[in-house]
Amino acid sequence: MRGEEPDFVRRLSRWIEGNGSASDIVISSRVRLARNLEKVPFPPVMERGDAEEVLEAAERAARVLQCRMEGNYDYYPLRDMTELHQWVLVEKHLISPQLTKSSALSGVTVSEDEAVSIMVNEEDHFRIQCLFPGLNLREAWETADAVDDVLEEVVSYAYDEKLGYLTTCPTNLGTGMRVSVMTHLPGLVMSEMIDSVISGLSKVGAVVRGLYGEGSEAQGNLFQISNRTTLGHDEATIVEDMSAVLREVVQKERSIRETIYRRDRTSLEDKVYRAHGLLTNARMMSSEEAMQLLSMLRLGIDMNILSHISPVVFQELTIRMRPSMIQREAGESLKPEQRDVRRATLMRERITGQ
Amino acid sequence: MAMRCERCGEHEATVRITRIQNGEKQEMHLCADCAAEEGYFAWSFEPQFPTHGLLGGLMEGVSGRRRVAVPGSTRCERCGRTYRDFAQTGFLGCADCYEVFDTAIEPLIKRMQGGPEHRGKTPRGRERSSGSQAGGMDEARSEGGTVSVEVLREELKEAVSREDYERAAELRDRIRELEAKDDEG
Repeated sequence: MRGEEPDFVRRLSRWIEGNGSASDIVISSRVRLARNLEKVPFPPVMERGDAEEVLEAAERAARVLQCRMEGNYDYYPLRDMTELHQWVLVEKHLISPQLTKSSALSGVTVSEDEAVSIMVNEEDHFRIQCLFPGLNLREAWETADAVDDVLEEVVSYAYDEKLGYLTTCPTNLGTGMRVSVMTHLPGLVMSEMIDSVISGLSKVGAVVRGLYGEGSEAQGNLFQISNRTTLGHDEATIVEDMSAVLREVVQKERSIRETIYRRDRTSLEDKVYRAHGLLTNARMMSSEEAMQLLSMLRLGIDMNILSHISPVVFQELTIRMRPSMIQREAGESLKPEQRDVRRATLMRERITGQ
Repeated sequence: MAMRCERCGEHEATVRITRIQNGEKQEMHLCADCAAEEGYFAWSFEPQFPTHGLLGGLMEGVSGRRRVAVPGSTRCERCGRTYRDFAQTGFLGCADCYEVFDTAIEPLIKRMQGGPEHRGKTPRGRERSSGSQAGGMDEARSEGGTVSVEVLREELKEAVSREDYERAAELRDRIRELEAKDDEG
């Protein structure tokens, strides 16, 4: 029933708790596979009846996943969900904002640990997504592959011998696979080396995205690195190539952090302690400010300047500080100023409370 | 002077999104609301922004130089998508579109992708150049995406072995339902 609180609202995704390889720099690794049903028009042109057919297939697939895979798999049509709960899914990175725009005809399947989510009727009929902590593309791919094997038993995919899995947009053709790695690169940003690293990455087939707020610094110094091409190489090669590229980025960020620490330790410690001071004392805080301060806090933790705080506070708070999550925890809808107050309280309590 | 949001044209742009692809830097200035709606705060998702504009540009470039342009009115009979729709949105309408628009898609693939041919995973029973190796699970998968009785039976067996009797009862009912339908047809 609409409004009933689904399980995912109260729990936190398991990837937030874990710390995989290179977790001082790599926050999460995601693999997504785009898949379409053979006989049904793709989402941009599908009619209601087509969409319902795909939703039904997704619901059946969720039941088969429940049998074959570990843990529970729950399927939710978005129309049975409140807008707030839909946005909780967005802020937890389980669905895209785009999926909520067609909520009457879209759905999502989520695994109990939230490592797997399947978006239904987004740009493609199915978008299988696996999210793991740290740099762990191989496990993310193996899980996505296993989920895909199960779906393949339930539906017949649009597939061409030469072109591979047929997708709505030809940029996803072939493997239908996009790997995305979320990296925290404050050292490269502070040393102003980030632009050259980004343009270097684009030459080796990677696409980099950062989120920029006012001023020139990426919000939270977070950058998402993805593969550009999906056709022409097999999945294992894409995973290996991207992992190699990422190891290089990790190496660069680590060495620049060391250099900064050696050359200008006091100024670095000052930045970290100021961030800690604000986060644990401020009474109102915007998302932008919080992201920037959390990034400095996390850097301080990773460099052993702050030793009493768990690094996972960073990923947990960057999710819990989002507007819908704050309102969900408050149990009511809030004006931006009220959210800023609650956000400051959340930071204070979570960071000092451990 | 404050810059206006490039999307809504109303609010002040406070978010700058930069993307560098193939060494080319592209910038977009948005207000916080539009940035959120476009998904830029949900940073773990696809790089949506210039993909489609870029695709249109690529297509113009391709057709302009090589004059392999497909008439804009070329239409896929199955889903009704025209070549113009595809060029504007970057989206195809169904599996058949790949054949209908293949002369336009081929050069696009050459420029955008890592190779002309798929080398990755293959659905079971559709192994490359092995024609009809179908069998087992493939037979169980019926047309139009409906689950078959065989798959359900397998599930039922597992449900029983896990002592999930509620689920088993549900499955048994579904199998009966499907078998009844088969008898009618």
